[in-house]
Amino acid sequence: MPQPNPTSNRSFIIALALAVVGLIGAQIGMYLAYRYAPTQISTGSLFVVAPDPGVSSFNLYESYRIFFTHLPSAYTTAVCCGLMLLGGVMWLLMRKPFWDHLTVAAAEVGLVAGALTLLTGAIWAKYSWGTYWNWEPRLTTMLVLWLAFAALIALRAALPPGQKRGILTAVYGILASPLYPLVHWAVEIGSGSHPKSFSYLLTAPEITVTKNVATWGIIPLFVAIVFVRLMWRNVNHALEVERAA
Amino acid sequence: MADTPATATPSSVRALALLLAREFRTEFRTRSLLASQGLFAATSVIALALGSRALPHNETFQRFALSAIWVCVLFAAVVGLNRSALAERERGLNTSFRLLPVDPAVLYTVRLCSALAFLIVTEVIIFALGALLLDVNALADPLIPAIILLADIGFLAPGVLLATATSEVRGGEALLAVALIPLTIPVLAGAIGAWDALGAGLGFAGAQPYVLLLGCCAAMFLALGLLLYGKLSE
Amino acid sequence: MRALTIILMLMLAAPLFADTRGANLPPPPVTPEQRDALMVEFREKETPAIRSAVEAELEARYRKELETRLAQERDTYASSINNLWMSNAAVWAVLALFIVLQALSARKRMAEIARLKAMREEKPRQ
Repeated sequence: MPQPNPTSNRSFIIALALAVVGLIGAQIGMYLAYRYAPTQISTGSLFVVAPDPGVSSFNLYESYRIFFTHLPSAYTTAVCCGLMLLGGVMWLLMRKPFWDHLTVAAAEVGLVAGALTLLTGAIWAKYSWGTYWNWEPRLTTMLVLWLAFAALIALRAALPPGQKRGILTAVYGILASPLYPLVHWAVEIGSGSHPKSFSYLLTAPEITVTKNVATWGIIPLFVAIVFVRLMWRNVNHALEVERAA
Repeated sequence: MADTPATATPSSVRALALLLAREFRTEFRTRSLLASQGLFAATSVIALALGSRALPHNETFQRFALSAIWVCVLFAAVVGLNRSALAERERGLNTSFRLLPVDPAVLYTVRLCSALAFLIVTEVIIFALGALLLDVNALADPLIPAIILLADIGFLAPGVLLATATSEVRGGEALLAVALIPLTIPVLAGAIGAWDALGAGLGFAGAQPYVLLLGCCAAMFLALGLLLYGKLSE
Repeated sequence: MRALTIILMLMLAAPLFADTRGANLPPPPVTPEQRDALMVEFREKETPAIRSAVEAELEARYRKELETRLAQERDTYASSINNLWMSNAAVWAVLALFIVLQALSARKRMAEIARLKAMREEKPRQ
C-alpha cells in the first residue's frame, strides 16, 4: 500500500481544521447574535425623551440580528474578489493550474456568499423598508458582482479544459474583481436607503462584540470552503494528469 | 489618437495609425460590420417603438425609452464586437497580428478605436431613430455626447478584451454576451443616471456621481484592457 | 306674631352685627413688587425641580412599561428567534459538513492517484 503524498495529506488536515474552527466560530457568533445581543431600541422614539443627537432614532428591535449573517457574508464576497484577482494575476504570470483553481474556487464561494448577502438583505429590507428589493446603488452593485461571479462560472463551464479556458478565467477574474470597491463605494453615491455602516446604526458594546465574533467566525468558514474547493480541483487535476500518464 | 499609452514610441504611434487605417479600409470595402451592427440597432429601436406605440409619450415613458435605448446600444456593441472578432479569426489575423513587432497595447488600442468608431456610427442611427420614434433627445444637454463617449469606452474596453478571448474558442459568440453584460451594468447605470439628471435640468452637479461612476469604470476597464491584452495570446 | 316680627327684624339686622372686617381677606403680606420677585423666583427655581421630578417619574414609569411590553413581546416571538437561530446555525453546519465531505472525497482521489502512480512505476519493471 503506497503512502499518499504528504503535502496533500497536510492540506487535508488543514481543510478539516479550518472547517472545525470556522464551524465553532460561526456557531459562537450565532449564539451571541441570538442570545447575547440586546434588543435594539433607541431612547425616546415613543414619547418621553428626545432622541440623542447623532444616534439614529430608527428602531430595529430584533430585526438587526440578521446583520450578523449579512455582514460576514458581504465581507466574504470582498475576500473572494481579492482571491479572484490574486488567482487571475498569478495565473497570467506563472501559468500554474493552482492559480486557475483558486480563481474558480473564489468565484464559487463568492457566488454562495453573495447569494446569502442578497437574501438576508432582502429579508431585512422587507421588514425595514417594506419591500424586498429596490434599485438602490449598494443593492444594484452587489447584484452585479453576484452576476459576475455567476458569469465567470458559466463561462468556464462552457469551455473545454485547456490554455484558452485558463486565459479567459484569469482575465475575467481580474475584470470582475474591481466590482467590489464599487460595491463598497456605492453607499456614498446618491440618496440610498442602505445603512452607511454598521456602527452608524448600532452603538451598543454587546453588538460590537457580537459583530466582531460573527465576522471572524464566519469568514474562516468561507475561506475553508475556498480552500477545500481549491484542494479538490487540484486533486482532480492531478488525477487527470495521472490517468493520462 | 489620444488613447495612445504614454510610453508609446513614435513607431508605436505610426503602427497604430497604419493598423487603424487598415481596419477602416477593410470595413469601407466590405461594410460587413456596419451592416450587421447598424441593422441590428435600427431593427431593435424600431421594434421597441412598435412595441410601445400604444403608450402615451409622457415623462415616465421617456425615461423608460432612454433605458431601453441604452440596452440596444449595449447589445449592438456585443453584436459588433462578435462580428469583428470572428472576422479577424476567419482571416487568421489574430495569429499574424501576434507576429507583428508592436506592443500588444497598441493592438488593443487599434481594436478599441475601430470598435469605438463603428459604435459611434451605430449610435448616430440609434439616437436618430430614438429621437424620431421615442422622443429621446441626445442633444438636450451639451454634456450628453461626452457621457455617450464615456459609456462607449466603458462598454468596449472590456468588450474588446473578452471578444478576442472568446473568439478563439468554439461557441465563443454566445459567451461574450454572458461575460460582458454583467460587467457593464455599472456603466449602463451610470450612463442612464447621468443622462436622466442632465435631462431633468440638474446640470453637471446633479449628474456628478454618475459621471464619476462612469469615469471610474471606463478608466479601470481601459487600464485592465491595456495591461491584459498581451496576456491573451501567449 | 310680635315675636315673629322681632325675629324677622333681628334677622334683617344681622349684617349690622357681622364682623365684615374680620371676615375679609387679610391684605397681602408682601408689596406688589415683592410679589413679582417671588413669582420670578418660583418660576426659575422651583418649577424645574418639580418638572424634572415628574419627568423622572414618568420616565421610570415609561421604562417599566416598555420593559414589560418588550418582555411580553419577546415571549411571543422567542420561539421564532430560536428557530431563526437554529436554522442559521444549521446553514453553517451544512457548509462545514460540505467541507468535510469535499475533503474526504479529495482524500479518496489522493489515494487513487497514489495507486495509479504506483502502478505506473511498477509497469516498466515487469
